[in-house]
Amino acid sequence: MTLHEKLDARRARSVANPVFRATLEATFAELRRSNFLDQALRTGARFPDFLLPDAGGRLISLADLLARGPLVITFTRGEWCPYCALALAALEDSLPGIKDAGGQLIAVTPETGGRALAVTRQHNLHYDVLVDVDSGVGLHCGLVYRVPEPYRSSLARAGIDLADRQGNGGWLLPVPAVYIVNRDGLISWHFMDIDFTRRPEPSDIVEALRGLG
Amino acid sequence: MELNQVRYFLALCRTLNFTRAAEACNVTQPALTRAVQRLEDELGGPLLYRERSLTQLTPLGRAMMPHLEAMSRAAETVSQVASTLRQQTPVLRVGLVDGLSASLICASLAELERRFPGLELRLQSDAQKPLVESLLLGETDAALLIDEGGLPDRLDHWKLLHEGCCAVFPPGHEFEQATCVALPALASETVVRGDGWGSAWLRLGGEHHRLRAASWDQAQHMAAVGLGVALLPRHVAVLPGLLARPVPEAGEMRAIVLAAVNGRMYSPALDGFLKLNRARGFAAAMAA
Repeated sequence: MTLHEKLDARRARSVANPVFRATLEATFAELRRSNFLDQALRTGARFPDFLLPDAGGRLISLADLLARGPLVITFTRGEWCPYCALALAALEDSLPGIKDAGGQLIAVTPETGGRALAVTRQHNLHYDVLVDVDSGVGLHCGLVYRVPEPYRSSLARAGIDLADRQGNGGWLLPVPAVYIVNRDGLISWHFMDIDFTRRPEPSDIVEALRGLG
Repeated sequence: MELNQVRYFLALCRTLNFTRAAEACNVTQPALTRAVQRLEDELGGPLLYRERSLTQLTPLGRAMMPHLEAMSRAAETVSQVASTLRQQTPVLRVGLVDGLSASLICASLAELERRFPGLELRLQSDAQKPLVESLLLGETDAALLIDEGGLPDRLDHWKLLHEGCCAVFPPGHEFEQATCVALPALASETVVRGDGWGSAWLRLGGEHHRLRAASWDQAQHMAAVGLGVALLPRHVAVLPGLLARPVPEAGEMRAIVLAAVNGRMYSPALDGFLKLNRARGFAAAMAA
């Protein structure tokens, strides 16, 4: 089963509830209307340098990572997001392919308080989950938005308190974009969609990495 | 949203004047106005009242400002990290409120030492009030405090953990066979009270305890010779030869928070210290 098929199946389950379906549609419509993603970093741009903690309590910089080869960076929304869980697990499965193509993989989450470690253990990940505390890297990339109503209330009702999870009360989320950054620090491939149920197929990522030569 | 939009909005918060904010950001006023309008559109309402002689923050503007400030600071630090890693000797001054053990933050300090070679590190211990004053005066960069409400607005603070209590006793004590020690079971025991619980102590019903120690170590030494059962915070390392069992009724005795003054730019070492400790799961690490 491809990641797309898994995401579609999960989405079908969610939108079987007409209220949630309306919430999702209103959210995507609002995010598209404001066009904020037009400003986001894309292929050709320089990825911002960073120094972020990983799940094990080390500070990792972009320069450290690029010294070892091109890097796949996947933004995730948090431990609570079922689509992120599917995407992280699918990327874990394709980690050998990514390494084979000379690449490395990291995930970036805005969630603090040990949630990066929880996600790593839950999905038995063999790649680093970095914590983008206060979403500084996400903001640099132009990926961060304030969760619009009624989605905010819908999350709150489900007990998903982003303020507590992120240690920042702005109710902010990143678009779960995926970038490939080459050794020179330039973005050589990207995927981003306002619709957070859409993620790139890992095989496409591996193919793009191979294309880097 | 975009970093520049956030920067321009924060400059407006500081100046409450479009002309001065544009000058501060080195952009034209129409460019600043357009960027802030886009941010308002994205955030779902006006952030500022624009009146002829007076610019003021709306309730939404006031509510969003601290969050956007935190984000902007995180983003700005991101861009200065590479250059400052090679700069002059980094200094970090960390305060611990009396009774908190440095073991809580030692792993993060070791990582900072690896990342910032030559780091000058100063740990301080003090009562909560002088520590808060030291933070506000800029003499301490960050501190671990107890949140009992009433921390000044000028401090940003993040919850690290709700800490529980454990009973510490020597081997051979009847508690050894139990997996935990219920509060009523302590009623018939002589309790050694460590002096560092603050007002949380009252929740253990302990106004009348005879045996008081000035430190967690003293309390444990008293317990070791059979003077009584010591009640310690979960984070304190138990001395060799002693046993500890949790007290379930005291599962959340007090909230330990990490605090730093808001509105100031962080040095890379301070930024790293705050990020490492905010990213970490203290409760899970303590349970393990």
